[in-house]
Amino acid sequence: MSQQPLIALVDCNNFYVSCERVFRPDLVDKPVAVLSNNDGCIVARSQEVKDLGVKMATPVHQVQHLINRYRIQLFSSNYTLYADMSHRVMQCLETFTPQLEVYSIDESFLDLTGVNSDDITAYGQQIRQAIYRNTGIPVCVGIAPTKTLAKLANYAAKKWKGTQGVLDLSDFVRREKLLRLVPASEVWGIGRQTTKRLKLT
Amino acid sequence: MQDKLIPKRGGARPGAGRKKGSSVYGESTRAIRVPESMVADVKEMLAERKHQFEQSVASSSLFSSVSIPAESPTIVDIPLFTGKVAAGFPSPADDYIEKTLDLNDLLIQKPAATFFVRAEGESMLGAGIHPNDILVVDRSIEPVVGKIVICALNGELTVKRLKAIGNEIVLGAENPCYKDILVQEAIDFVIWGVVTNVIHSV
Repeated sequence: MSQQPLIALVDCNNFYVSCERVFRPDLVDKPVAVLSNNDGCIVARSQEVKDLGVKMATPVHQVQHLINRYRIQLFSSNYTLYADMSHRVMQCLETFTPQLEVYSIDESFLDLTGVNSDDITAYGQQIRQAIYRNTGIPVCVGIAPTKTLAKLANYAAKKWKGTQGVLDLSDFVRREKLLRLVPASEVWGIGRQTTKRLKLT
Repeated sequence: MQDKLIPKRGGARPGAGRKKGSSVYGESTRAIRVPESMVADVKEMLAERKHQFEQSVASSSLFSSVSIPAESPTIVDIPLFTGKVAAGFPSPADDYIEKTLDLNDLLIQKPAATFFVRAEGESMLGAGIHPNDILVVDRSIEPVVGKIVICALNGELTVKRLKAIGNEIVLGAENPCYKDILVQEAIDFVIWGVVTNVIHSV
């Protein structure tokens, strides 16, 4: 009997902001943003800042009123720090899978094929807690038979608090249910143009 | 008929230019003329001022006190002598080498979870932690009672010994001049990591 492949996508929450917060515990529940080189644009936002409606890559001067009003803490980017923290996260992830594919500075695919799937959500929780404990970085875990679905599971795990940061989509019924809830544009690879075309048909 | 002309180009833009208070002295600056004979003195004074400001910024930022171990440190194996040193009395048995020792091996069990923190203050003198010592902190170790921990207390990183009185957690200082802190519910308290070693220069 061939096993269903199982892929987990582990993605760090607001990665640059989380890196800064590890060393500034006083900012854990405060609005924080990280700026691009030369402090021009906002390149990372804490959930509090996202909730204020500040979009990714917004020039700082456009939201200066929000920064003043809500006392958003700004950080210049410190890429040496982010690279180091990323390396730590990936090193921890390596202990959970024989096959780790580092996809970007803050996300990795883990091949979990063969892990007892009764406990797969618990395994995801273990990953999440180990990363947080060892590095201080909060992550979400999406688990599914393909990378695209794992991405989607991760999106849902981030979006819905009830998942507690881990969502397993290996079950067909649950997958169908989620796909009905999520706009097509959130699926990996469905960009602006494809979305437009999908809406026409 | 002609309204006031609002130029579309040129002129001052809001937010442009040097920000107020963004100078190296932490306040706004202005250009002045200085008698030539005094230039050297004034420059020296300014350098001093700049240094002061940098110091004050550095000490207010917690991050400056947390450093990160080198990613791929070179291995430096130093011969390890097996005999113990009895305070300045060299033992004749020390003249052979048992094995070599790499300090990274000794001090860092889990590189991914290890951070270096510079200690401040004298509250932990009794535990051998002096101001400016470097603490090796391992986040992966479970913080059990008796361990020395780095914790975030109302958002501020501090080093204390974890103790318990009944069901209450107590953060103990190791210096009679400092009081222990009882962790009450009102206190925002998170354990950041466990201190494994102190690096102290003598």
